[in-house]
Amino acid sequence: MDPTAEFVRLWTRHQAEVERYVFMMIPRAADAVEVLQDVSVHLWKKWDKFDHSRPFVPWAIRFAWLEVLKWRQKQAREKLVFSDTLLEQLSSIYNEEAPLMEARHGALDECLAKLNDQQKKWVQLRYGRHGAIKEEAERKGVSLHKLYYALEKIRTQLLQCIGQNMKREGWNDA
Amino acid sequence: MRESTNRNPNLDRLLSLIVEGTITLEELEELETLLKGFPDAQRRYVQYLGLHVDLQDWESRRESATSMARERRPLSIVHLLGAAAVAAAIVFAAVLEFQPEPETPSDRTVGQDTPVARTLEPKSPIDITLERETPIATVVELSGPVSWTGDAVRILQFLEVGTNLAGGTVEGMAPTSWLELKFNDGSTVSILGNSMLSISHHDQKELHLKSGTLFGNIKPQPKGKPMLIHTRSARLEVLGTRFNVETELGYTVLTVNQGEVRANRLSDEDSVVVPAHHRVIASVNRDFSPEPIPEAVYHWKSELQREYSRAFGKWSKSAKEASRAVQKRDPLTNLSNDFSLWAIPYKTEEQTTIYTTAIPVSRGDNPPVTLKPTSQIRVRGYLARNSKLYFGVTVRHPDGVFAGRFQITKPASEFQSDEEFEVLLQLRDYRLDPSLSKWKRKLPENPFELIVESVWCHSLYKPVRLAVTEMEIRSPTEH
Repeated sequence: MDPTAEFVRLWTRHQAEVERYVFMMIPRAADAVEVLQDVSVHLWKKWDKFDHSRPFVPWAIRFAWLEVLKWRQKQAREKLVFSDTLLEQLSSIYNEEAPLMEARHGALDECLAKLNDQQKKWVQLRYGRHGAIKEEAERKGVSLHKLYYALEKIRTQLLQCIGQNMKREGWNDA
Repeated sequence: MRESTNRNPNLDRLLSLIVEGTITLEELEELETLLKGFPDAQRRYVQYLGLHVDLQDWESRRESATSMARERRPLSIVHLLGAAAVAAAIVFAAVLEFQPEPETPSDRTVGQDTPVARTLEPKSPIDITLERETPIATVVELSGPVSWTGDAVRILQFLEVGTNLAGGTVEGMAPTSWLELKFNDGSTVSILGNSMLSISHHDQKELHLKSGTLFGNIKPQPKGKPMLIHTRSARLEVLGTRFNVETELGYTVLTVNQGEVRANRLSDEDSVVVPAHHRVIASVNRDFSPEPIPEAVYHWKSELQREYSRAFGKWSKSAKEASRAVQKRDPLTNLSNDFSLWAIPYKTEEQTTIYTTAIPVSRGDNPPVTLKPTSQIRVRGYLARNSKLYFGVTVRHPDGVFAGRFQITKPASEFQSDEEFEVLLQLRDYRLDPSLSKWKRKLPENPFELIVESVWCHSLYKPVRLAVTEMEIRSPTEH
């Protein structure tokens, strides 16, 4: 197969996994996208070194880690970043948690179905069109802070539900 | 790995602030203090941010499904930005990489052309993006819910006959799902049940069967460009033939009905050519040699403890445990089997909810199980609320082609609420599933002498807590 096409195929398929990892390390969407872009450039540059008998994602994650560190160095004077030590610890925990993520993702639908209509509406507003939740807050005359608090409770409830589902399905590590 | 039982209440607040992008410097320092050196808190962080990403993805999928638009929909803003970034980045990288030392095209390996040539060459990354929009196959037969995720982040919850598809993934969402695709050269592939198949066609046709069953009727392919079929355990090279492939996590079974197929076992790169009427199993613990397709048998009995990874339903190791999970008292005390398969719902394209269980039959090491006019099907299970039940078989022809679904219904009056049931069904009473009536002329009138792909049992509309503990096919004349 054409190596370019093979790269695009693998990257298209697994980009979300790498993106998730980068977002864990750099939880600001704009920064994460920038680093993700750098990751893709470096993966492409090193593509001829990729051992096709090995899985793509771990290889890509290693590059992502290096790019995160590079980004961290660039942001040394910027205080809104985690320390190197914490980044290393989070990266290690991420690798432990990664095998469970698909199952957690699978449990989400069931847990979302358990939310009441109002909670579902907040989730849709928050994760739907950009700015929709702010508009809703203004329309209803409630503070954005109050809606964020409601969302915090919803996410906590969802995490608890996902954890229970995972345990019920036999994921003792969940 | 255990979740902390004494989680700091501030942690979730700070995590919420971080995903909302409103965290202050002081709060970030506080978060770092809570996380650094505390694996449980770090796990919570990873799970919380993972949930945030999943919710973004969920909402995008929900919106796509709601609109049912055939237009392209972004999975998320970040995905879109990422995809655009990658396309731009690859071109940028290519320019950076190749500008300093121009070489003659003949000195380069495939794909390493000059920046100018890369822009014009059809196989450049940008053109590949465009190529993905070019249809490579058309849906020609379809029954049951089948979803489609295109490479260009297009999602269709339900496909329709006549839909043209570019590269992407089709997934049968229910045991009753059946899809046949025709490629531009007339080759056809079909999937049955809960199968997942990715298709692409750049230089050559390339399929990835993630799980399930695929039947292929492939026209002769260009020399040196066989159709490639990838599974987790094997790579198949098809030049022009009829065959079927079945794959799950640990094995791939290739059965060739006409022509021949080269099979490569990925674990050791062993390679064999499988001739017509032979099969090979790519698995770590099996001899990787072609063997004649086993003789058909007429008897089969479920073994739920072995089938749990392949069956459709919520598998429970112990019926008693399952009962405790669904209600406080224990209605299944009298159930003798240790394993049960609980019906789970899916929605048809008509928005009917079906609660179903299904067990594959002629799969893996099993020989093909064939039905006779005298065959009987015995089903044991449990119903919390008595309800009309549908019992059925999905069958295929010996050459692998889908041959229909046949079913029989039993009225609610034949079942007791909160009781175990056992029914013995005569195959001669089974009729073609009404949802397949438009293919009535094409499909056989009855399931006799056909191979059983799966047996299933379902209720409609409402959850009635249906569980199956055993299914059996038997042919009395054989004994």
